[in-house]
Amino acid sequence: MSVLIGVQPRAGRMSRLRSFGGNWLFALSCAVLVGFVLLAVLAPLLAPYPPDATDLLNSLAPPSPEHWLGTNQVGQDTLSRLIYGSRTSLVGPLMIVVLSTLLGIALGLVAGWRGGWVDAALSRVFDIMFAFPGLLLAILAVALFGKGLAAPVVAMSVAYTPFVARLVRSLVMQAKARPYIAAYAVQGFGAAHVAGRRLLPNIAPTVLAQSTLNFGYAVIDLAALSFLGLGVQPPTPDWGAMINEGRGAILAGTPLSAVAPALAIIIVVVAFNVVGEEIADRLAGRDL
Amino acid sequence: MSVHLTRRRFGATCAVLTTALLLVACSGTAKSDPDGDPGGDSGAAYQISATTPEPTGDIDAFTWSLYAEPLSLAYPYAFDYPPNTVLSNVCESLLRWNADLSISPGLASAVDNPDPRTWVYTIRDGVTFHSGGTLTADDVVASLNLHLDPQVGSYWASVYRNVKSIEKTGDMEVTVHLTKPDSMFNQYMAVSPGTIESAAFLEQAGADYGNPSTGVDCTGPFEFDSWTSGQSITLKKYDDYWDADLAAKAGEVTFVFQSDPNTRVNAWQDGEVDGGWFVPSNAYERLSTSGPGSLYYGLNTTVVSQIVANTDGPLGDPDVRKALLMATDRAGIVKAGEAGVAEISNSLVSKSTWGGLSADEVEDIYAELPTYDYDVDKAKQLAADAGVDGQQIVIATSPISVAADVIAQATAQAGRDIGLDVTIKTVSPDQYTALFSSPAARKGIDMFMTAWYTSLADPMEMYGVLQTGQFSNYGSWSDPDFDAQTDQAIADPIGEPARTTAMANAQAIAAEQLPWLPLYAPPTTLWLGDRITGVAPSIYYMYYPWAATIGAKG
Amino acid sequence: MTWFVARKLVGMVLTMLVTSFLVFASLYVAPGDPLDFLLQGRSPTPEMVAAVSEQYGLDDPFLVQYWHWLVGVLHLDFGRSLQFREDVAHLIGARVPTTLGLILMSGTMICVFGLAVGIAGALTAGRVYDRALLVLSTVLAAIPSFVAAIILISVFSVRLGWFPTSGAGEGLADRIYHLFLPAVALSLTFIALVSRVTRSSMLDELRREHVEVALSRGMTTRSVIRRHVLRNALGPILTITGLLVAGLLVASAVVETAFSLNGMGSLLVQSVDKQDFAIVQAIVLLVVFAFVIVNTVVDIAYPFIDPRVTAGPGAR
Repeated sequence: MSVLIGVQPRAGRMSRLRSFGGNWLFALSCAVLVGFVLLAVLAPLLAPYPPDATDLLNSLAPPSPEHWLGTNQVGQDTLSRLIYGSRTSLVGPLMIVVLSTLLGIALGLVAGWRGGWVDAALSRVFDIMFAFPGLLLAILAVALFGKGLAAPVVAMSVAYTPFVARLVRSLVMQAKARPYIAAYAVQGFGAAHVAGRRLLPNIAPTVLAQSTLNFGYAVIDLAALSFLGLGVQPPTPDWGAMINEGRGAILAGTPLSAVAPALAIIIVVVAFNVVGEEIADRLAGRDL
Repeated sequence: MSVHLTRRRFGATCAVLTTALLLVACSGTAKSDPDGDPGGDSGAAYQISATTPEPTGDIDAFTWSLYAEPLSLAYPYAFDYPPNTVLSNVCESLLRWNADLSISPGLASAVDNPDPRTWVYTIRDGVTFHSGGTLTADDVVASLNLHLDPQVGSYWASVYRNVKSIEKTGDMEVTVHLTKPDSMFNQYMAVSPGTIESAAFLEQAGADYGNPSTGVDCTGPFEFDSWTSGQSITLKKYDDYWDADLAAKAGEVTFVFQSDPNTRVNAWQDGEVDGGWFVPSNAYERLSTSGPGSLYYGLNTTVVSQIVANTDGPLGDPDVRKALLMATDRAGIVKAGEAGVAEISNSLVSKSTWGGLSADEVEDIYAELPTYDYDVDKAKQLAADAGVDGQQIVIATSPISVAADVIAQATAQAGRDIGLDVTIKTVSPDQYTALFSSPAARKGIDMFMTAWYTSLADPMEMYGVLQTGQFSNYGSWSDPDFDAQTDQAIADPIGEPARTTAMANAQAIAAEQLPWLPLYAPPTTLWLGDRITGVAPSIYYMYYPWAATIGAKG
Repeated sequence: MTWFVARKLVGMVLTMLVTSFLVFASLYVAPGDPLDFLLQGRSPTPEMVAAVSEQYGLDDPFLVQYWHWLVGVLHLDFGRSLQFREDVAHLIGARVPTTLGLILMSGTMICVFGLAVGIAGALTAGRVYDRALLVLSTVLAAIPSFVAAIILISVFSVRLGWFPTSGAGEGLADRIYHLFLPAVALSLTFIALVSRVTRSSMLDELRREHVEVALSRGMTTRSVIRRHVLRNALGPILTITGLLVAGLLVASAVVETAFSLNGMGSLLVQSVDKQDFAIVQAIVLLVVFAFVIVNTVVDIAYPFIDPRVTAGPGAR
């Protein structure tokens, strides 16, 4: 899904009702995310087979002691591909989030702090960027630069930036009105210093919350792109691409090679959403 | 407290979701025991049918699946399954290709070959176009000449390479003069190169000929009715069709484009779509055990092989090619990619393509071929002797079918086993199609697979392609002996023993040198739902008005 | 107020102009010569080369090219598709009914169910029902639409046979029948999100003083909700819904591909595959325009729904 629901910078009372009672879910989600990161990093150590080792006589095999999640059409071990797949499935979104956050903070900071015509001009730019939904820009990028991970990642970073930028801009504008910021100015601190050392740390958590949510959206969008055949190309393991390849397995009545990556995507995105919302909830009551 | 409740609710939701996903897992039949099929030459494990039950009567309409939308219905570009499957029912050629791959008169009621360089076609009387006009020699001349027009860029242009002129020599007579004897040309008049369209319509349509809004205006048992872009093509029965024996038994046929194999199979099983060629191999088991409807395997001229596109690289050495083939687990490919339904082939030409010979004669010819049995150790040795040591090759593949993926992976594995550094490059289905026509598209590619079907029951249709300098000789392979044998075969008239010997010699050379690596020969696959029957499960559907034979079932 | 609307409209036109320029210019961003890029993967005949050069005016100066292209677009002439040998406008036109139908159905489902579930959640806040919905919506928001599509097909089409597995149908009733499952697959994620936003927005309103005052003065809960809460809460809801419905245009590409529907989205994906840039350019432009128009409509409507938002420069 390429439309982002942002964190609303509500300076006021927050909804007292927490989505999830108790911290156990938050902890679980964090653990899940850490787990997947470990999987991605330690893939060669954890995966029982190389991800592209074929075994044609074991095509579409059901789960067994040799293959815990069975095999796909060409006999590749689904579990190994799932583990290796976490790399592309997580790195792409990570880069999108990092790039868009950095760019968004930079642009939003400038727009919010400087105000005036700079802000007006940048707001126009944001309007233009907003006009291009993430997935669409990614598809156009693929049309221009070819398939793979690079073009969509850059395109989607650009598409996600205005959301971060707008958030940062609002936060900065709200903060600018605060007495403590004015106090810094009075004391003679330069604008850059105030913005960088004082403002940024205060708005960072909110931005972080938004970025965490964005991660989940990025995972889904990139997976959709791979599913359409425009993103990561086979034989590189990738969850979205595995689901696309797995449609043949569904036809044969042994859909595990498609179900496993689907569950992986859902679990990761839920985990990110839980973490992101928890952070957002806790922040919403804070004053900036 | 509320935490307790939440936990339960969360668990409940997860359970629901998991159940849904498991329902996905359980839909369709489970895979049967893998130990039933020996997995080797599976010739005996499936049955070839020559016909399907005769229809009991006419039917109003039926629907048919196409695995891709044709790009055009213009016959000069009808070079592939989707357009030919549709076009064969609407347009006709001078001659006709039958279910058993024999040739008989079509729009030409008689053919004369007064000397090896001249072919005289007598045009049939009383044939009308769908729009109303009558077929004359002018239409034939215009239609055939279209292939010679460089502006049109006909994919069949090479068929006409030995043609000097095409002339109207009478109201109902056309004469073709060749620059040298060519036994292939006349055979091609039974398929797309010999398709006849109305000259007036060609003139009027211009560059729009055959596109979705314009369509075609031909002589076949069905006429073009409409083409809804991205969705379907509808043909309607043409009541004034000249051949009463082949009058359509259905009032209307709708071809729906369903590129996803799951969609096709689901639609067949639900009865939403009545039939289709190209049954996905993953569904063989499911379709043959569950009704309603029947799965048929039939006559085919296809051999699936790996084209060697670059003889400047490590694959330029025949020994390396041999080693690669020996290291390729072809039985495994057939099992994983075609569900065991295919025969390993040691020739680039299927046995059925040797028209005019008895089964024994064909067996004798094939018995002489080297078999390249699967033996990785031997292959490694051969490769090492040939100097293979980490050289790089690129195999191109495309997600066009399960088999394509399996073949790419298996060949890559074989390459690695003999010491090559293999990269698989995945391209889109349309880029893959471009590999067959564009040298630019082939740059950097060492190997790509093909399901090469012959349009004629004549091995020369395949081997002619591999002559030095030919358009489809993608690897620029060149062998003077092979050229000599094939030249002779082209020049000799059909049926001459000397021709057969020359072709057998050419085949032996190709099997020894492996310009392309032959993998297996699959049957034609056909699904007929419960409402329809009548068509022969044969590759003839590419050029014969097969849809006219389909009528109501019992 | 009219000044506000006029400014918004002018802004909209400006944005459309700039984005059209960007979409046009993207051809030159691609590596290599534009002509090579447009013809890549093909062995073009001289006729094809000449036709493409002419269609894009590749020999003209850049801005002249842009002008010609823009004029063509305004006349709904998007050039010719290279491999269908057909006008792009015809090809897209044939696909619009399916995509439009899909989006209308999805949009309706999202608005109806998203609002209903969100309101129900807000009113029963804290109770079991609300918690369950929240959990469900979190999970649903994480399911990619193509996964939802595959599950729905497997369960409802194949297993239960309640719905057709593919195609867009003909005639209104048949079309609705065929597009139902795709619309569900497309809307699930969005319903989840709209319901969450609705819920939090309403909860914020419910806590406002004026609501308490109204209730203490004896107004019925229902009328309070209707007159005070809903109207005020509608603001953020409207913004989100507007964005979502516009975003549906893009998300439909995935669902159309999964269900083998002949919509604009699947044509876009296929055209990228087939490197038929004229079609890609046309569809991207149309979607962007639709997006901009919908956003502008939402921006204009906002102050009418929620008068607390000043319709002025600080409106963003």
